[in-house]
Amino acid sequence: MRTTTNTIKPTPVQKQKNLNEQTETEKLSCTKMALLIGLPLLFFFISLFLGRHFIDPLTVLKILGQKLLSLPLETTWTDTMETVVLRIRMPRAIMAGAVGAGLSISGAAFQGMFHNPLVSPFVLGVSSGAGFGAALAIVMEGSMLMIQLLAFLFGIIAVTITYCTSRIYKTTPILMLVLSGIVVSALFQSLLSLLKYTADTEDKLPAIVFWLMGSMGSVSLENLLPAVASIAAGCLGLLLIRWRFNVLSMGDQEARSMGMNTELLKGIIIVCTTIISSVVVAFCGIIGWVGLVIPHLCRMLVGPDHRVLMPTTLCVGAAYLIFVDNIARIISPAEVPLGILTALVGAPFFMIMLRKTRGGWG
Amino acid sequence: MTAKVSVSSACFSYGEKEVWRDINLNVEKGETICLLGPNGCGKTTLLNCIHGDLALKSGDIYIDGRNIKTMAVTEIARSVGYVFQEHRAPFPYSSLEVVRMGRAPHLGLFQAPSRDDTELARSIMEEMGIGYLAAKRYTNISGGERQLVLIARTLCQQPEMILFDEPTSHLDFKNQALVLRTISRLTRKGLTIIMTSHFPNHAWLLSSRVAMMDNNGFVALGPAEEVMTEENLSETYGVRVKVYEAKDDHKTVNFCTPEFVPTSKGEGVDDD
Repeated sequence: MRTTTNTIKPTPVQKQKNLNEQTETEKLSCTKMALLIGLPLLFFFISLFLGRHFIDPLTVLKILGQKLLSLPLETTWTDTMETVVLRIRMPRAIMAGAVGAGLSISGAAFQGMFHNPLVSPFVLGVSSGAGFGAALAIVMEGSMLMIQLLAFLFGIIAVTITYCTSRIYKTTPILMLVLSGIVVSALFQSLLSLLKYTADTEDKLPAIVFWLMGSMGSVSLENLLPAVASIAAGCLGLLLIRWRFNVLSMGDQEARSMGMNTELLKGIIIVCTTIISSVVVAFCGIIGWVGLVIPHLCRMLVGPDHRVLMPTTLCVGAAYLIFVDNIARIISPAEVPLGILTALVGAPFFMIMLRKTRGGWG
Repeated sequence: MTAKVSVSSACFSYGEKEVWRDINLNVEKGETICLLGPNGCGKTTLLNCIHGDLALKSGDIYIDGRNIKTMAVTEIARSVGYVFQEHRAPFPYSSLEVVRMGRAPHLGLFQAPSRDDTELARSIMEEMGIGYLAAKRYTNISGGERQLVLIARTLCQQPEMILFDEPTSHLDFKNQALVLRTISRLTRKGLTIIMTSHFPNHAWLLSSRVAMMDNNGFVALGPAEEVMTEENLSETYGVRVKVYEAKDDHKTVNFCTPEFVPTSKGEGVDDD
């Protein structure tokens, strides 16, 4: 027995090798880091000059330089071009980035919290609730602001009901959370169907259906700030506790044995993700797949350690949604709903990944 | 001097169903206690109560003289470690990362382990002879290695006491030996250990104190040599147990095996 363990002691060379491998997973190489930060920025810039009115990149740079950095540049462009770049494309690209980042990090957070790589940010019923809220506002002939407010409100109401239902003996077991999420989703789905059934088929029903498919169309320079600020706040909250996700993903009882107040932590996570996803659904409708696929992709890229994984999902998610939104804008004159495209791009990709990893995640 | 752990007139029930009652147990610092008993007698439940995960129906549990009810999870985690029986990780963390998770009770909510924490985790692994596992994925190592990594993680919490829930279940002979040797090393270092086991022989091997339980509570409590009698073992497990003594040049080894005849008490429930 003694000899067995003595022989498996690592040699100094092995030890050095282990050390290197480990530091590699903790800190990304500079190339990877530059790519991760550069990619969303590149897509952001591309989305400023792509569109039905193509504006050449140089002019876009000049517009940005003059208006945002107050550089003394000669105006060589029309007012329309300026409006298109600064008031239409830029807010939209920023929002797409924020939405992609927010949904992806929420997905990663929930996958860690539920210790299950198959959950999405909508697992607690936020999208069904918000969808119902939006439909209600549309049926009541509410303004855009009204739609957004009700969607946000009902998203939060749905999650609150889920959370309260799952709470037994001062704890919220994961299984209870998932089950109550399914129940609450079903409840709001049927209420939504009821609204659809009774809605005016001329204009209300199409409006509801189109809204549910998701779009960046309603984003403007005016409503950008509150939306992006709340998404950013949620993301920041999740980023701050990102190491704890490693511990939490080992299971509630184990996490408690390592001194973690799992209920407090779950509470923080649910609050952060709910803020993010209800704001997203309120502004852009239901955009599926991003929150499920991106965390997986990132896990393949940088490994499962949430300290690296969470910031990575931010970058990749932002880049992905800006990219898909560009396709949505360009592919046809009548914009293709974003929710359709994210699934259309995401599903085949996920299939390929499933085949490649044979279901053995990452 | 107060006992490390003191359980007094403890009674526990899941709803109406009483698991055990009137359990009294004092564990001194540096002692190893082995809980033996049939499946479903509440060994793990007792561990969970001592760890503060479950609340007693009546009675009290004190750790270092403090009532467990008044201690926060973080406080408990700093002085009591818990190595769980079944384990499954959803994500393929490196073993070093898993060990490092043990630093959690010493870190603030927004903190991540520092270089020092990593070094501590690494040196604990080296000391246990599992340094070679550091970079390996926790999901790809063998059951025995996983158990050792979990013990390393618990040591990373730097506790004074460790609870083990069937640390050798599912393990082959070599791995059982590795785990038991690790446990006896920890005892020599002065850690207090409470473990449950389905292998009565391990109690002799660890020369620990033994608490034998049946479906009501403790049947016997005392040093392995004294309480591990054929009579007590038979009563505990509800099956006739034979105790043997083997001598060679250096030492005497005790061991027991069940006979395949149920005692009157265990008739009909000899197997589960």
